[in-house]
Amino acid sequence: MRGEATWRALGTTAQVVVTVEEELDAARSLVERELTAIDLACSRFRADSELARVNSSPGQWVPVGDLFMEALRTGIEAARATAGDVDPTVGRALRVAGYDTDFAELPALRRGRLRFAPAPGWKLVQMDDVRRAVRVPRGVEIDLGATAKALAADRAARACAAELDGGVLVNLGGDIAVAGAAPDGGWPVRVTDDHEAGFGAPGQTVSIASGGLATSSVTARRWRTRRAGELHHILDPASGRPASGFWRTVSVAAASCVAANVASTAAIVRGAAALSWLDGLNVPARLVGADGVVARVGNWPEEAVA
Amino acid sequence: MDEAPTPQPGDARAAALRRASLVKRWVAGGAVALTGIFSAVAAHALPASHSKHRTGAAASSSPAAVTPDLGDEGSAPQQSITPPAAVPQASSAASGVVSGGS
Repeated sequence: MRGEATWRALGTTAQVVVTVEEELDAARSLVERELTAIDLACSRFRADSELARVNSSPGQWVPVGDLFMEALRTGIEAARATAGDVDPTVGRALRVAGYDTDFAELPALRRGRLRFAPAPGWKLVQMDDVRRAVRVPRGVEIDLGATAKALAADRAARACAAELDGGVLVNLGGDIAVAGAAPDGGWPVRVTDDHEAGFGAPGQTVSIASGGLATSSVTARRWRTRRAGELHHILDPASGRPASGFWRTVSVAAASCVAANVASTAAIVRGAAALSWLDGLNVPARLVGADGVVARVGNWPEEAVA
Repeated sequence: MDEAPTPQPGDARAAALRRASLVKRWVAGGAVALTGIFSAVAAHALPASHSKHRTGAAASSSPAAVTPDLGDEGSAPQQSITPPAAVPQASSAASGVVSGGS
C-alpha cells in the first residue's frame, strides 16, 4: 500500500510518495529536514542564509557549510556542463529584472526601472575547499534556483532509501527524484506545463524507475512589468533576458534529478539547438514548442495508447 | 703661483667608470623595485582562480586552495548529464505525480 504526503515548502509544492505506507511519516521527516537545510543554505530571499551572506560580502572569503559547498559546486558543474547556459551567477540578473523577492510576494505588476544584465560568469566564483569558504567579486550575485531544489530532491530521496524500507519518490515543484525499489510498472509521472496542474492536465504520462525527471517551462513564474511586458524566470545568462520561448516546456529524464533539471533548463535557454544537444547526451527528453508541437529525443516514449 | 694640475687621461677614465657603475646600480635597484611593484599589483588585480596551487602558509585573506578546478568546457564535456539507468516507459496510469514548470 502506497503512502503519500504533500505540503508547501521552498515557495512550491513538496511531495513524498513511499511504497511502504508505514514509512511515510519517517520519509516526510527526512524530506522536511533536507528542505530546511537547503533553504537555510541556499535561499536568495532569506537574510540569514549562507547564500545571502556570500552575496552581501563581495571580495571577502565567507565561511560556509558542507551543504552550501555542495550546492554551489553543483551549480558550477551545471554551468560547465551547459557551457554557461545554466549559470549560478545569474543572481543579479534576476534581481534587476524584477525577481527580487520570494515569488509569492511579487506584485502583480512590477513598476520602476528594470534592467537586463548578463551574468558575469561562473568562473569568477572562488571556492576554498580546505577552509570551506566562498568568495565572489563585487557585482557577482549567486542564485542557485536552477539546481538547489533538484539537489534537495536527490539528497532527500537518497536519505529515505538509505534509512527506510521500500522505494521513495520525492517531488519538489516538479523536480522528481526516485530511489529504492520502484513499484511494479514504475512511478507514474504526468509531464505538463505547470507542476500545480492536476494529473489530468494536457501532457503525457510516463513511468520512471530510477534517477530523476524534471520539467522546465516558460509558462511558470511569470511577472508583468510596465515597460518590458511579461517576463519569466528562466533567463539566458548571456543576455540577462528571459529565454526566447522557442520551447514552451521541456521534460528530461536523467541519472539524477539535478542532471534532469540542468538539461531541461539549458534546453529552454538553447532553443532550437537543444534538440541536437540533448540527442548527443542521449538523455530522454520531451520538448513542447511554443506552438504546442511535441518533439522527443533519447528514446522518450510515444504516447501510450489508451 | 702654482698651476692647476692638468687632468690626466687615466683620471677621466676612472671617473667615467665610477659614474657608469653608479648608474648601473640605480638601474638594477629600480628594476627590482618596479618588478616587485608590478607583481604586487598583478597579484591583487587578477582573480586567484587562475592559480591552482597555493602554499599552506597563506595569509588569512588568501585561500589555502582555490577551486573549482572542474576543467574547461570541452575538455570533459557534459559528463554530469547522463541518462537514467532505465528510460521512461509509456504509461496509461490514471494517477501519479505531476512534473511541470515551477
